[in-house]
Amino acid sequence: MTLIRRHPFLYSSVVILILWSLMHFIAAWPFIPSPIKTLGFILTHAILLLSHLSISLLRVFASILLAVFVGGLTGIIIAKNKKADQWITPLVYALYPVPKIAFLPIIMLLFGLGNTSKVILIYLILFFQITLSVRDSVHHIHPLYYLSIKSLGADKKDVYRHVVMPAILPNLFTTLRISIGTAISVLFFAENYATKYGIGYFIMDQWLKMNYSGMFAGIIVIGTMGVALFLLLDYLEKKFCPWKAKT
Amino acid sequence: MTNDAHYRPLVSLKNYSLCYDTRTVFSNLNLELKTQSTYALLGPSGCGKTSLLYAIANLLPPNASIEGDKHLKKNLNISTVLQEYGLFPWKTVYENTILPLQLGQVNSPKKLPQDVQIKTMKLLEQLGLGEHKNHYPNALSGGQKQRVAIARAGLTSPDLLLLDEPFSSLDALTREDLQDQLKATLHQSDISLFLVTHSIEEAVFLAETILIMDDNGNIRNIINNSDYRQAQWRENNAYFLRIKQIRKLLKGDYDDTDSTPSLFI
Repeated sequence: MTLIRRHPFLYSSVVILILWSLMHFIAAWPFIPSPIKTLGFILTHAILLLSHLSISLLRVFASILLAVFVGGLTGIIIAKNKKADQWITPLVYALYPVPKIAFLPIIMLLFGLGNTSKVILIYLILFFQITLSVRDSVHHIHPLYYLSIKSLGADKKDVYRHVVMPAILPNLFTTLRISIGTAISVLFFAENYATKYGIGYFIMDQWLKMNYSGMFAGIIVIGTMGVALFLLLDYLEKKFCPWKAKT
Repeated sequence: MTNDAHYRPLVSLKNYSLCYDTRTVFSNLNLELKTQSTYALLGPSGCGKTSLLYAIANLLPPNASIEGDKHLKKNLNISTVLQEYGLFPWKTVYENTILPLQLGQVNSPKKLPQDVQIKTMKLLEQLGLGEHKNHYPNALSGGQKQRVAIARAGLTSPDLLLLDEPFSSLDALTREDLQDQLKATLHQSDISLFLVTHSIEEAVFLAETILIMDDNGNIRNIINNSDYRQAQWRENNAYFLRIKQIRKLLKGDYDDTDSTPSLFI
């Protein structure tokens, strides 16, 4: 138990490796390659995989940053301004459940076939999650905190800096954890049109070439990218919300 | 300080009325708070004690409507300690304490002048919080949180300290310890105190003047408690007699002859 607690990712890697090996040896399907062969592919094609990974990372980071900035700002505005709430919230509710992938033709026409349309597609999906999460976080700030900062002589800027921003941060990190899973799923889809770069493209390309070791190598890389993003979020949360770790 | 300055009120309310939407909290209230004086406001729950404190501190909510005159002394520095301490869980003890001096200025307390940082640390040491300076409020006891709130209020050297039920959630010994510390600090300074409390004992121990508010938000009695400065006041007979007198007044016997409304407008 202590080993699992100390090294959770080592534990999950070992379990996945055992299940994968069992499936390879017992089922003996050609589309489940041996883990050793796949590892060999990763080592021999490391630079190629890294180049695809770096482009995927760039697209994910750009989408997340844009969604945090615009979604965060929109969430705060609709939470603090009744008129903005009346105008914007019904639109958010109406558009949130619509599958954004359905807008792909429009996005492609507006933003072209390059990186921008891929970033916009992922951003659109994350925007609604982040907007609503931030709006709810602002609504849940205890009135005592506003009263307290006001009693110290704070102006509006101080209220945002010392109360609103730190109060919404923990919930924002939780939403980002959920959003990362969504972002990577959409990334895989977005990298399957009009591009020859990105880990999503690489996986599909290897599948079409029936190179299953390459396909699995791509899956491992995209999975590792997800884990790395989760770890990065954990690190950022510890850095920016230290009170959560110490309470 | 001249006598004239002493008698110039810090806060003056004349025919002051407060309503929340359609509910009247108090009407035509008259009150003066003078320098170097300590006041305690007693009354039943929901009578408007906290609203009066919020009115003085400019903390009334947007649905409050006010009538009458409120005059504050020029450049009056008011510090308020709220009922639930009002500490920010995302700030350490040190950051919570130094916050009033950080507002509107710098991003980090470390960028504040060295003397301000030293003064803050000294204050925390005095209140026994030195070793907790890097702790977050959730790791503190109720008494420690209250000390932080008082340290924060005292850091700006206020002219008037407003306390709303400051010790209500503390155990008896911690409460007495903090009351002793507060009384000693007030005696050594020029700070005036306006205390809202449910505790008759607390009011009699800490305040020179005790105001009693009735259910309708009227200040019905003003008790002169000037002998509260006596040593060993808690063991004094006069202390117990004062408590008895106030208990009687709170029960509705408003015609007590010892009350002296003439102290006020």
